[in-house]
Amino acid sequence: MSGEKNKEEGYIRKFVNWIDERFGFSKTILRPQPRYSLHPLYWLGALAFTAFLIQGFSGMLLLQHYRPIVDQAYESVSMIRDMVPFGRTLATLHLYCAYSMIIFAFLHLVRAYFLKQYTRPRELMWIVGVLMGLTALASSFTGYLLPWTVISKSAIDVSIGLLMNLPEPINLWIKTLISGTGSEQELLSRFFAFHVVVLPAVLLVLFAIKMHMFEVHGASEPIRRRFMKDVLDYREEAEEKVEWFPEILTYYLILVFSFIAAILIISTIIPSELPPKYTPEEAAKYTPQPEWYFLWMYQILKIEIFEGAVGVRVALTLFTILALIVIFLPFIDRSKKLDIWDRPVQITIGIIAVVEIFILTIWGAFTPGMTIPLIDAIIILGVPAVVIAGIMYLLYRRVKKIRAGEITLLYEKFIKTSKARYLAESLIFNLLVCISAASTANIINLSSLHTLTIPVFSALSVILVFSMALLVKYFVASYCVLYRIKSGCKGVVA
Amino acid sequence: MKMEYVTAILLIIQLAILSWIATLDPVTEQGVAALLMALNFIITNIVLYLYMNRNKEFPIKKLALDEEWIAIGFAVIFLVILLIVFL
Repeated sequence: MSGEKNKEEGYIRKFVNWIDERFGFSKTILRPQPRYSLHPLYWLGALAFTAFLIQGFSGMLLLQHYRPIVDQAYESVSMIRDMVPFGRTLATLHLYCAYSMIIFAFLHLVRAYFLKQYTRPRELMWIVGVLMGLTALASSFTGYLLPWTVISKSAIDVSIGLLMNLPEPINLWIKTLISGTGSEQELLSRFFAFHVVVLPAVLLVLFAIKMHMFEVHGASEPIRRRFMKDVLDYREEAEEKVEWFPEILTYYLILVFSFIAAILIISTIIPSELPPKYTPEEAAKYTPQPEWYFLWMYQILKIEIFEGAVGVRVALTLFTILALIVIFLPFIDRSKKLDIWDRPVQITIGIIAVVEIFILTIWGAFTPGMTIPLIDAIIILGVPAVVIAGIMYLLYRRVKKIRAGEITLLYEKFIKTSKARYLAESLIFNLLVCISAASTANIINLSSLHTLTIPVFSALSVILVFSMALLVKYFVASYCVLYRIKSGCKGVVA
Repeated sequence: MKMEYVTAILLIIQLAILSWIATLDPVTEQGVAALLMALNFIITNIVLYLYMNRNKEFPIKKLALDEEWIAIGFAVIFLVILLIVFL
């Protein structure tokens, strides 16, 4: 950050240099970063943490007025929304930042999985990252109860009820930890303490550990660089560094301000609602439903084979195994292959998992409180999995052909395909899917699907297929370009 | 138009928006205030973007491929103004 060339620059630069000479940021935490890191996908973790910081700031302001007492919690939240200056905006901002934090953290995790960023020496970074994600989920879960609305309290009751199906003494430990003797006041007090003190502190400690490891190992190399290590132009581009001040700071601020602006606009267009206060009478009128980020798990628990104490135990065991697999993935997936095109099985499993979570969440939102027949679950979850596996098989077969030498033909074909054609193909594909889905649903009479509206699914699937087509085009085309450069072909414009 | 003039105009607009926010009722008009704050953040982004590209040739009249973000920024500003009017 400091240097001879900057000596004659303006006051801001002089001030930054003055600070840097004392703290040494440019030699430690704010050292120059590779230019390729100036891309939004490299900042998903930073954006998740920014959302956490905004939550901390808005939470501190909300804390001035919130009362963690059963008889006053709802009234204080209501007062914040209706009487405190900018209270409604702050409360909505706090909530939507929690949602954003979960979305950014999920995208960060998915990206790290697909790009295999958990290989040596970043295994522990992955584990700490997953633990941070789980802590963020726990923080959102505990915050959900605090307004003491009928929906939040009922959902927490159902969640605690489900956890009680765990084998003894684990269930008793959990119960004692989160609700003490079981009184409503103790439940609220403990959730408040977890939400305001314990979990943010845990998150900060984990963040510090992760940042330390990030400083040691740096940002993971982009796929392009991994693939093109021996091509001089790319190596030079990858090794070009940019300084924190002003380049990276300006870029980060642009991302953060865009995020805050988007959240403020969404908060105004769709302000959060405050459901009625929790009372046992009021609770009888509502179907308990968890927040959207837990809906996919709740939807699985609603499948008929997981009903009853034994079923719930089996489901919770499966969730635990899944969580352990995700946490210890770096030690399970020991293959040395890094390139996306060398890992068909892992990539296919990843895509199926993301799509199934998406389907379960949407499906869960449309079927509150409904028991899902097994046949519905098999069809709704099984068919997309089979379709994705088939598409991925065809895609990888095509890549094999690219590697076999049919590059020019495929490259030209992909590059010349227009967006209009992709859109038309998406529409036709979607039409066929809708017709087949409607007729299949009609034939087998899926009881849990009848509330889903065809237009919602149509719009979603058009967008999904269209974006997937563009994504595939991007990946295959860029792969072809890189492959041609690597092979020494001339006349390629990257 | 020179970059310095564009930046100066944007900063004046930001000051005007901040003054407008100060005149609003923080309870009943907080939706409008939030949108105006969003507007201010977007304008700040444009200023930062201009700053990031300070050493580049920057003809604001002809939006080259690299400057399409500026066009997007102005489009978002227009959308937010529409929201303020119609909400």
